[in-house]
Amino acid sequence: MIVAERKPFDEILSMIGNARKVLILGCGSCVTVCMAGGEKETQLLASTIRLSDKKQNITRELRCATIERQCDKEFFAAVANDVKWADIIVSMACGVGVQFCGEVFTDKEVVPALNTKFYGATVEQGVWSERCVGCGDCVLFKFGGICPIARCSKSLLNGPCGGSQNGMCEVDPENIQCGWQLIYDRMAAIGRLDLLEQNQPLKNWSTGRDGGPRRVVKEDATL
Amino acid sequence: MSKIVAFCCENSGHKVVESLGLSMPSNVDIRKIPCTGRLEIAQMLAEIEQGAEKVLVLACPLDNCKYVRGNQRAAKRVAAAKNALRDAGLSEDMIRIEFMSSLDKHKLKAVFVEMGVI
Amino acid sequence: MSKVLVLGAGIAGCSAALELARQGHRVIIVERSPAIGGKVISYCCKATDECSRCGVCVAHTAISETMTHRGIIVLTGTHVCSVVKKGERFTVSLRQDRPFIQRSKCDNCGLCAEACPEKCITRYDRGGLVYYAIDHSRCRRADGKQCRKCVAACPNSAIVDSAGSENSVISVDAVIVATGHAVFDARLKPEYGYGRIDGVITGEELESVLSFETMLGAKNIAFVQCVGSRDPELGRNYCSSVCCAYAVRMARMLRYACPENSVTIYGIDIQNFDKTFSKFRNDVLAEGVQFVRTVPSSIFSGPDSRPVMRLEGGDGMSSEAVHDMVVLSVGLGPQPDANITADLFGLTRDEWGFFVSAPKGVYVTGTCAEPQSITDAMASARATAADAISHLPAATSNTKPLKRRGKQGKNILLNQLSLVLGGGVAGITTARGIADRGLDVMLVEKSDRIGGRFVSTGANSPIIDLTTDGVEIRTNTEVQAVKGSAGAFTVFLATGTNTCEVKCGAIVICTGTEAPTSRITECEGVMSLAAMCRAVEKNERKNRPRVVGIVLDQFVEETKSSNEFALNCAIRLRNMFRSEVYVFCREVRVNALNLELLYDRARDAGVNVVRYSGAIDFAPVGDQVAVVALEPVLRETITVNCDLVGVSDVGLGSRPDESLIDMFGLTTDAQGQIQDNNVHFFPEMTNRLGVFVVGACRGQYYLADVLRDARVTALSVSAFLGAPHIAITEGTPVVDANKCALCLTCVRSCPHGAMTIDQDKRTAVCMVEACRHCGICAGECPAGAIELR
Repeated sequence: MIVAERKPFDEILSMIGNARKVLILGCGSCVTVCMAGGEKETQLLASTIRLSDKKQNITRELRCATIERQCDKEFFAAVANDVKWADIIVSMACGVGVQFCGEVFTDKEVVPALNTKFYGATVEQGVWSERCVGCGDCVLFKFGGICPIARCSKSLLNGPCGGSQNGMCEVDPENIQCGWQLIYDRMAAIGRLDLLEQNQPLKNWSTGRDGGPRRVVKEDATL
Repeated sequence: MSKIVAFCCENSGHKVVESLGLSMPSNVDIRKIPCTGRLEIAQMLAEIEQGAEKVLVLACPLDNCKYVRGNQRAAKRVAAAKNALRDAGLSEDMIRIEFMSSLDKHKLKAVFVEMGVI
Repeated sequence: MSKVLVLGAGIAGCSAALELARQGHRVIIVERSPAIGGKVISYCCKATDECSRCGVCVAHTAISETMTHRGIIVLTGTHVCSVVKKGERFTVSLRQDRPFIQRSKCDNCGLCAEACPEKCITRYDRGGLVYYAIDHSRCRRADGKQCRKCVAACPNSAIVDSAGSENSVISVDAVIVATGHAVFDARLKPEYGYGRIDGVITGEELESVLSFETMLGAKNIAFVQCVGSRDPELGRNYCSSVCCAYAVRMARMLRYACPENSVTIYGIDIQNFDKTFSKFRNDVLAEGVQFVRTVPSSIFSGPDSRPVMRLEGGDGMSSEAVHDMVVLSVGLGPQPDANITADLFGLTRDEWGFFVSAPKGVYVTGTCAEPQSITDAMASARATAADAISHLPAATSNTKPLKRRGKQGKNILLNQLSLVLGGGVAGITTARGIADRGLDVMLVEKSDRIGGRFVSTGANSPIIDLTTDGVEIRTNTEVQAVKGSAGAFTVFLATGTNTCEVKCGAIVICTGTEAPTSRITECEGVMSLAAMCRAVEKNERKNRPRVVGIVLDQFVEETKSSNEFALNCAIRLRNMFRSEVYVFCREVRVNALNLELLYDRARDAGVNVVRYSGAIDFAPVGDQVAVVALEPVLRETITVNCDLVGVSDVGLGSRPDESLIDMFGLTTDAQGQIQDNNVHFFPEMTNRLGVFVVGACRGQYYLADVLRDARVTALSVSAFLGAPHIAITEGTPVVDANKCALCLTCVRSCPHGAMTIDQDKRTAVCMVEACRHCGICAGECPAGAIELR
């Protein structure tokens, strides 16, 4: 899933600026799961804004709504009236949702309430960590199912650097495991250390962000 | 007089409130909840929005939650609610959590005195 | 339907009554005082922000439930005049003081108290327990005057005044005696100046003061332990079990409430009283409570009229300590009139006056039988109720089928089979108890034999009943997985390569702890105490060991269980081989009724008990092992060359099986033992409904207590499975499937394992049978999809 976390409150407030009718729009998918932009987060943000406004004698109206997904146009229909009413939409979706919201409601200002962080997984309740960078050319089969690009701080493809200490990465020895240690351990466990003997050539990054904005077309699915 | 909303766990705080009976200050609104683990951040903020000057959460002492860890969760959510108050430019002292057992009438009275309710 | 008389409305009496009534028996509680609840109602909560597990709050809940239970009649101000056994039943004549309040009619309005001209009617209202009590000693009627003001004031005619009807006769099937204890009268230790010197109070008095205030005014407070306990000169050579606990807890609370307070505990051996005692004591030390290892020889009034204690140091020097307040931690003893109760019911008493045995149909429980903490008294009262129930004619079920609610109203049938995991003493006793109640029970044991790790220490060792009539036993069998929830578990078992599924309604975990894997020491010739004991038992050593060392407290603060084991072992070595025996320990734990006697017997037999501080060193010396310990009073190193050394290894292997904990989703205490260190769970409950725990895997090693807990658990299991349905009360979580993001937050955060994902409906759902209605799931759900309905 896409993992995000809420922006600092002051930043959100300055983005809203002088708008007097604000719609806080939550998203019911990834950001609900990572507890950044679901229904409860919209209520919390709205409440905080109202309290702040009251303190500063600002008259402002707020509405909260949460739709199934902000990355599919159809779901926005449910909030069309609220959007019409609003001066500004504070989208609590990932960067995709924020942009898509703007594409659907072209005449409205849409601002992000979240910082979109990464593609990750729930390690334990309240803790998420990165697993994939979306490079467009998956190499997991070469590395025992552990991605050197996402899990190694330097995205090295040919073994660890000198900063690997006791299985941890020098970038943050408390929290970041050395991706290459993980790869090695996993390959040893599945008996495929032989794969590591091969030198990995330079990766073709044109399938990733370096090739420009990407697009997927599944011909049989197009109508 | 200023209004105070007290979220009371039915296993501890609410029993204290009931045993105080008539000596409960009249400006304290009681919200009975099955466990403070039920309490949401937005619920606390909503009470302040609706005019409560202070929100008091009465939880069981740590390690005494009938449901294992509801009071620990409440403590964390109170901390998060305090952050929201700070964000809004308000005093974080508006929300307060107290851990007390069902027996602690005197402790609750002392809390009320400290909060200037009685 | 059978009827039971419970004598005494203290926490033991109420706990027993409640258990009987829940099983459908009718109970009459007779209490001679006007109040309900006994001593516990004047005790304080000893929590800081953190509970210290004194049990006063749960006792209040139990007493309040007793008062309102429809199957229980509480008669206060009532005295037993005579008891006659007729056949299997008892005819008991009672006399009730007039006027009295009929509890079933009273709605606690308080008009009687307002009307009483002598103000002798008082309200008790704390911890959910509310009632009015008439103090007859101050009532006008006691002086023979006429007064009917309270009777006239009561709008519900709940106050009964009719003269001439004081006496009544009831016929009952069984009697439970729970008359409680009297605290030691500190005046009988005149050198401590109680009653003469200002600022010297008893622990019991401090309890009631702290029930109403936390600030004492005193800045410098001392607790003196063992006042009226472990004192042969007073004829009280037993440990009262509770004083260390209440002193340490109140000391901690006083420090917390007022950080400028200085609090010191003067005592000899601090008894191990908590499930995670080592941690608790370290916390208390870190919070600044000081422990001094001596008790004063006398207390006198100093020049500024503050109490001064005279202390004799181990080095023979005496010193003085001045405090603002000295709290005497008074012990427990029998009631002064226990002999009258004993005569009435035909009870025998021990040398101190505690009740020992009772004739058929009469049971004794609580502190009238031995000193006990609140939680222990509750557990033993429930165990006693279990014993009584198994001898009573079966009760007719008075529980009506519950109304189903809304969409969730599926009828949950409880599978009547119970599964007991672990074939040690705890497992066998629990399984037998369940079978005795007519339920099917299967006992699963990992090894090839049942009996567990229990090691006999010879003649003094208790005889364990290892019979398993009516229990289906599967040895060499392990649990692989578990599914489902309370009332409908599916457990996957593996016996060798064969696997099978067992469907059961309740599960009891009695798997004990893992055997230690690490070596005690690298030094050759040092073995575990249990191994040493076994070797001695089998007389494997042909050569008589001349010098034997027994080491306790090396890896963990030992419990009374290890101490009892070590002392028994030491006595046996003395008797069998005339060996010189040295027991090394940091503190002697004797907090069960007969352990001080055992300790005395060991000393009389010539066993040397050596206290040490720090760690013990072992070094080989020829064929022998040198045990090197630091003696804390002399501050000298003591070296004993031993032929045989046994070290208690309880601390090395005291963790229960972690895979089982994960499999069942159980929560543990700070030492990794199953069951949180939480009074609401004691002794048998876990965080999961329908899953119970007994014995060493929850940190209980003391055999008598394990057997007691096993009886309680058997009763709990049968009560759980015996109910026709699982009660679905208001406040059950309902998930809005449209909003549910399947994020698993509720599944992860539910403390009871009651939330799950319905794969077909693609939503989280609550398994109502496992739900305890706390609402934590609703509080956690990031989609706001859960409501309590």
